[in-house]
Parts: sequence; C-alpha cells; structure tokens
Amino acid sequence: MIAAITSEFRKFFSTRLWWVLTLCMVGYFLLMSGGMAATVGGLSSMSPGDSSLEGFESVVYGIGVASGYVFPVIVGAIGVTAEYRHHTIVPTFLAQPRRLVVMGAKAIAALPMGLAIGVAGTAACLIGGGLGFAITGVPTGLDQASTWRNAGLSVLAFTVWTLVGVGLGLLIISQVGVIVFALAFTQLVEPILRLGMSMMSSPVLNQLAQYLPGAASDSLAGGTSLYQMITVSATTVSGVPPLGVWQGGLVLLGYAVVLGVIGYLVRIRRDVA
Amino acid sequence: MITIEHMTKRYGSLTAVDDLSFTAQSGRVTGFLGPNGAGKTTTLRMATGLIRPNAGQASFNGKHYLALDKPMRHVGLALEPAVFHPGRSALNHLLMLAPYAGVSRERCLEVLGLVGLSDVADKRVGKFSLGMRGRLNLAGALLGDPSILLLDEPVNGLDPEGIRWIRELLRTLANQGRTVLISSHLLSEVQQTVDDLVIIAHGRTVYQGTLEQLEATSGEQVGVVTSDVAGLTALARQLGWQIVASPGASEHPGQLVLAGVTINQIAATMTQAGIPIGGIAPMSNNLESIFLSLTEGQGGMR
Ligand SMILES: Nc1ncnc2c1ncn2[C@@H]1O[C@H](COP(=O)(O)OP(=O)(O)O)[C@@H](O)[C@H]1O
Ligand SMILES: [Mg+2]
Repeated sequence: MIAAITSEFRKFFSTRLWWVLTLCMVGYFLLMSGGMAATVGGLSSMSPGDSSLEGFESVVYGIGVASGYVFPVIVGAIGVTAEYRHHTIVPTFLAQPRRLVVMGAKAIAALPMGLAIGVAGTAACLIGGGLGFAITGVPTGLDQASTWRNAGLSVLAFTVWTLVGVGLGLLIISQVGVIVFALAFTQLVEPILRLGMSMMSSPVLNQLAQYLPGAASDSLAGGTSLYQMITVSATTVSGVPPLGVWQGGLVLLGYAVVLGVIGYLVRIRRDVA
Repeated sequence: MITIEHMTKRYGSLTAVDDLSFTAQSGRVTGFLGPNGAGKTTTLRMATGLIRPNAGQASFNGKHYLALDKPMRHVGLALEPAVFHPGRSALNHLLMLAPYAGVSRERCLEVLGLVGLSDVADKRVGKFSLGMRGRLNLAGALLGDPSILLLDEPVNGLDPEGIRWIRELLRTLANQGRTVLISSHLLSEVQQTVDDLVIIAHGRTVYQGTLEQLEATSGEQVGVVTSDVAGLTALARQLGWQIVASPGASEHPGQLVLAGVTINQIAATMTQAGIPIGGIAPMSNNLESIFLSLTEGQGGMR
C-alpha cells in the first residue's frame, strides 16, 4: 500500500498540472477575496456606521471554499482520469493487479494533496481579503479567533472535496467530463436547487436542501458563505436550521464515499486497454 | 516458464483468442507469431489480468499473475502500443513504477542506460520518437529485473541498428536463464532471435515447436502456373497434395504452390489429366512463405 501511495504522489508531481492548477486557484481566490473586501471596505468608508456592511470578513475569507471547490475536485479526480486518458492505468495495474489497492492509494494520496491545496487556497483568501480590508481602512478581523477557526474548517472542507473528486473521477472517468460536471453542478444546478428547495413551503424540502453537497460544505466550512446567509434567512422562516460543522462534514464525506464506492464498482472489473 | 491454458476471449461475435494453449520455456527466446489481429496482444493482456478471459488461465513459473508478490519483480510486460503520459519525463515514468518494483532511482537510471536513453532521461515522453518509446517501454519491463519477459512487438519502430541491439539483449537475457517471449507479425523480423515458435492465426495455435523443426518439416515446394487453376486444385485435393498458397492469397493469379509431391509427378499427372502447364518450377523454400501458408491457410487476415 505504501508503494502504491508513493507512486501516486510521484505521478501527481511529475506533470505540470499541479502547479498550473494551484497557480490558477490562488490567483482566482486572491482576486475574488481582494475585490470583495475592497468593495465592502469602500462602501463602508462612504457610509460609516452602516451595520448591513458588518460581519463580511467571514464571507470574504470563506469565498474560496464557498465558490471554488471545483479545484480540489479536479485535484482528486485527476489521479484517476489522467491515468485512464493516457492509458497509464495499464502499467499501474500490471504493477499492482489488486485494483482496490490502487484506488485506495489514490484516495489516501488525495488527502494530503487536498490539505495542501486547501492551505494554499485558504491562505490566498486571507491574504487577498486582508489586503483589501487593510487598504480601504476597515478592520481585517484577522485578530479574531473565529477567523482562524473558519480558516481551519475551510482547509478541512477542501480536503473532503478532494475525496469527492476521486469518487467523481472513478464514476465519470473523462477529465473534461469531471470538470464540466463539477462546474455545472456547483455553479448552476446546486445553487438553483438549494435556493428553490429552501424557499418552498415544504419542511421536507427545506431540510433536504441542507443535505446538498454545497450546503453541507458551507456548513462544514463554518457557515460563512453568502448562500448560507441567504438560505439561513429563508429557512429561519420555515424553522429549519442549517447543519452543524460536523454534520456538514459527515454529509460531504458521505457523498465522497458513495460516489467512490459506486465509481469503484462500475469501473473496477472492466477490461483496460 | 509461461503456461497458457485454453485461453479464450470473445468480443461480441468475434472470438479474438480461441482456446489457445502453449508454453514458453526458461532460458529460451520464444517467438509468439501471427498476423495483425491474430490475438497476440489480447493473449498477453489476459495473461496479466488486464482483461478478463472468457475461459482459461495463465501461469508464470506456476503462479497466477494475481498471486505474484510484486509482479514487476517476476514478470516484465511491454505491451504494444506503449503507453505514457506525454507530459512526464522518461525518468519520471520509471520513478512512478519504481515503488511497485521496490527499486531505487539508481536502478531507474541504470535501465535507462541499458536501453540507451540516458541522454534523454529528463525529456518529456511526448517528444519521443516511436523507437525511443519502444526503448522506454522495454526499460519499464526490465525495471524489476524479472525472470520472465513478455515483449509485444519489441522490434516495431526500431532501426536496423536497434534491431541488432535488441537481438543481442534478448539473447543475453535468455542465456541468464530467463523466459523471454516476443511477439511479432513477421517471422523474418524475429527469425534470427528466437529458439522456439508459437504461431497463431485467428486466436488459435497453428504451430508450436522449434524453429529448426519448422524448417525441417516444410519440405519441397513447387510453383505451377496454369490457366485451369480449378482443375489443378481439384486434382491436388484428390491426390492429397498440399496446396501451400492459393491464387486468391497470392499476387500471381493462375499460380499454385504445391508441396508433398515432386515436380516430375506434378508434370506427368497434369499432362495425363489434360490440364495445361503454363510453367512449373521448384520454389525457394523460405520460412516466411511457410509462415504465410500456415496463417493464410486459416483464411487470411480479418
Ligand atoms: N477491446 C476490443 N474490442 C473489440 N475487439 C477487439 C478489442 N481488442 C482486440 N480486438 C480484436 O481482437 C482481435 C485480436 O486483436 P489483437 O490481440 O490486438 O491482435 P494482435 O496483437 O495479434 O495484432 C482483432 O481482431 C481485434 O480487432
Ligand atoms: Mg498486437
């Protein structure tokens, strides 16, 4: 198993993808968090004392995990999809014909990779947001314990999303397919579903909305996303509270496990050529 | 030693490998021959668990591939076509396999040297020529210093110098007591390299034995040109003469190659039967034509 995990790391770091992806993500997060912080800061310096502009630090610092989880999904999926795309799964399965060991190693290797990309992404949001607030003369909130707790949770959420990526990779197998699916689902399908289900007058749907992967992720990340704010205000009316941190984490992990198991069963007995 | 027993693989209505059995001995180079599409690659994939056979099994020194501990240390397989991530360097390709083989970076560099790729160790494989890819593929198979080597079309893409080099390498490996199996769709390509032969067509064995035996059993062949091919064919069947190549399979219509009969007998019998003789001559009896007759006799390529 250790051999298989070592091999997975060598595969990941021996092509250019990992740093191109990290660079894209860090740049994107810096811009988003910096821009958002500067906007909030700019507005509040124009209208001092406007309480609707307070409490935005956590949203700014959490913008990465709330809107950019496609990056860890790609990191997790790539270990599977790149091997099938370039057929290097052939030498891999020759070297380790027990396919469960290979796929298990991919999942385990994804954990530190997710952790690393989570640290990089969260740091980018803290730096971009912190700079944005500092430049516009607004308190950064970086001295508050809750900021750092949320940062830690954000890293954790990234890690779990990487595992979701491994499962998606096994299920979809096409690199482009995973990216398109992840983007379409996280940016389009889920927000509509989530908002729609939260606003309905059915308590069951209100409750179910909290179990969507993005909602679970937001809960895991400390409830810092804009969606969470909107849906919380919507659901407080219907009396359904969002999931707690641990509940959210377990639900998201559940998605990873279910996708992984289905993907494994669909994929594993197939001939490779 | 490699043992293939009753292996069968079906793709829909096509039986790619059909109840195939053979063995390859240690200390010898075995040629695994057959025209394109005969089922060579499919057999090697089944033997190593990449694809699931419909029936049959393979063993390596008595063990199923799945039962081998660190398979790369026992069996080295270089499949055709070779597969690499184009963005990965040659050295990194081997390094990714090294943990499975339980070998160090030094060993990776060593096999790169062995296949003549030291100078391009850090070059990305996407920029490699066909011959270089073949060499890297071979390096991957050799990495774990296995006692059994399965090389699928190893001569493909190599220049004449490369062919000579691989010949010597395979001979050395066999002399060290290893089992070496090389596949090819051309007998002439491996004729000077192999000790034993397994010839297949349509997924079935058509010949297994030594190269010498094949040469010895081939017998004399006679080429006959006639305007009445049908008549001669009927005559040959009736008298039990072997038809080596039929007009459809040869580029010379109106010509038959016969064996198991002398040139005088043919001439006399044809005259008696009133079949016109356009020309008749003994044929030089090279191995490639034997190979072709063995495999084309099965109906040619699909
Ligand atoms: N995955 C597949 N699906 C359908 N047919 C296949 C597949 N793989 C191989 N074949 C067919 O099986 C036959 C044997 O192929 P192969 O083993 O590659 O032959 P060889 O290596 O001797 O050239 C060919 O007719 C080929 O088209
Ligand atoms: Mg082949």
